[in-house]
Amino acid sequence: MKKLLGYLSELERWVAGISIAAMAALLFSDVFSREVFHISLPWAQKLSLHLMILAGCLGVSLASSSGGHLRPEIGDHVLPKLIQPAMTAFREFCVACFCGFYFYIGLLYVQQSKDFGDVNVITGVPLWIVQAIFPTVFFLIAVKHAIYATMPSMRPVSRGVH
Amino acid sequence: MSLAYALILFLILGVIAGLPLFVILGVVATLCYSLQGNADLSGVIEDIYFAADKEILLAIPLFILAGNLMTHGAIARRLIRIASSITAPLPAGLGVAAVLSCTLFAAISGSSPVTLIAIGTMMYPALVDAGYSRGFSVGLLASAGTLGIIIPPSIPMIVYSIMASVPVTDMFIAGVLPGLLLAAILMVYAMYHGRKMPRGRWDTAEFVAAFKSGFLSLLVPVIILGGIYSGFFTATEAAAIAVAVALTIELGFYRELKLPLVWKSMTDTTEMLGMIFFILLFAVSFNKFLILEQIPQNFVQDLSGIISTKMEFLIGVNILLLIAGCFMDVMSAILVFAPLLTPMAIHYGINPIHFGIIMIVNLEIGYLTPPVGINLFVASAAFRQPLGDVIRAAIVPALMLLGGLMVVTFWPTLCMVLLPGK
Repeated sequence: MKKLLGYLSELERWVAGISIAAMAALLFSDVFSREVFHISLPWAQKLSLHLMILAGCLGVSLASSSGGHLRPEIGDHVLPKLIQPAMTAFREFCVACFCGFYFYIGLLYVQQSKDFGDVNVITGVPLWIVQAIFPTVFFLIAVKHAIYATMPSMRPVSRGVH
Repeated sequence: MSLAYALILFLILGVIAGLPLFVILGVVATLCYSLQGNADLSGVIEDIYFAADKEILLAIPLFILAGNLMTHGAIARRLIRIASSITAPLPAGLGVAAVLSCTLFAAISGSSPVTLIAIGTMMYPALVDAGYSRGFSVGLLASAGTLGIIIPPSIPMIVYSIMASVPVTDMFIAGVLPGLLLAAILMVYAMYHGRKMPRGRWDTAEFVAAFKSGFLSLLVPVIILGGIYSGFFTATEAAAIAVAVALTIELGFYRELKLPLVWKSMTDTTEMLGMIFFILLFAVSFNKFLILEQIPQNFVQDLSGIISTKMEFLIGVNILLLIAGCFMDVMSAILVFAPLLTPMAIHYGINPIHFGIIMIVNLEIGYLTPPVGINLFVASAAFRQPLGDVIRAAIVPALMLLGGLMVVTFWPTLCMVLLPGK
């Protein structure tokens, strides 16, 4: 299971890193092409935005894998040590439920969007494809935190905020 | 009212349970969405999608990436070397160098947390090794990092210029002197605090060597700001140019940044973006609720009922924005308050550009005020210090910045002197 989660994080890291690189390259190409060849690339910004949404969402999932989410840690200090493991499991369970719920309503929204047939007028990309990133990532985060809730050995060390 | 109690109860439980902030904000946004009578909660996803679908947001990961590249490479280190060589003879020279480095970096990054991370990760261990207390070092760096949004380029200034219909270049020019004033205030704080620390000596050879080695680093802000001022590219494009220039200088000239570190900069950027991405999107969704319920408008209306003079307006606005800065992120506060307060400011004879700078400085202080003081969280995470200690360490510099805010507020010439005829 640990290996599987590791492979998943590595895949997310690669896709997100390439998205960020492509986003920067697209925006730079737009300026370069405009200033040097006097040819504007109107789709570059919108496509970059799609890539940013992909990178940002995968970044949220990566932050889950590395325990990097910002969170208040006051409870870690004020609650008795005896109940800390149960509280951590409860916290992971809550995150899994929240993301599971958002996965569900995200699916409903993407289905509606697909039915409407909305398309981005500049890039020609159907909007539901971009919007589908949200439920996908909520699903990934829900699964990760469900595993963390039930298998304490899988949990990353929290790097949250005190 | 029962929903308000449910929200408060959830907030308390969420904080004690240590839920991630994006979950806390997400639940709050969802509950507020229900309050509006929306049975179809999938609309919250629509809210966060539209919050993400804003081109100005592209500047955020790109400025973070530029900052990461310069941090992993040699640009930030060479800027710090130049700053340290200049400030060595001063009392608390290294502390002053930390502020000067943040000032120089702020002219590249446009973001307070990135400035804090880029300079702080190198200066914090150096300050502690030099004998400065951890509290002072964290407080100084957290507050110097806030200069990122007042010294141009600044994303909040761009957003304000859109909301208040003022030229963004005028905002940038107006922000230069207030930014330098606030930097000077923090330098004085550092010098006073470290007045008993041993001083270094002016070393011309070291200064010349530092300048030679860091000349290209100094060119980065010139290219970025020059490009924006001349209308060559927009702020978002400037962020992409910053990445390209940083890569060219690091890979082509300094050659200290290896390809694995370029890749690490990109993956670090995605994770840093991930830490704030959903928080930002849910905050915008929550902000939509505030606007729909006309909560800020009602607040402003109450304010206009009790003030009658320009002085009262300025004091009231400062109090309002300082409170807003405690609870709202900079972008949301500008989006909510700029369209409402700017016409009132003009009514009282205040130049909208001057008013914009007042707003930015107020919200800059908000980076240091809990519960939503972003620089406090970033400093706590980056320097591994308990949040309570960071908050205590930031009190004195925040109060000193408050003094700077008073000068910016009641001495408009400081903002407008570089804009003759405005």
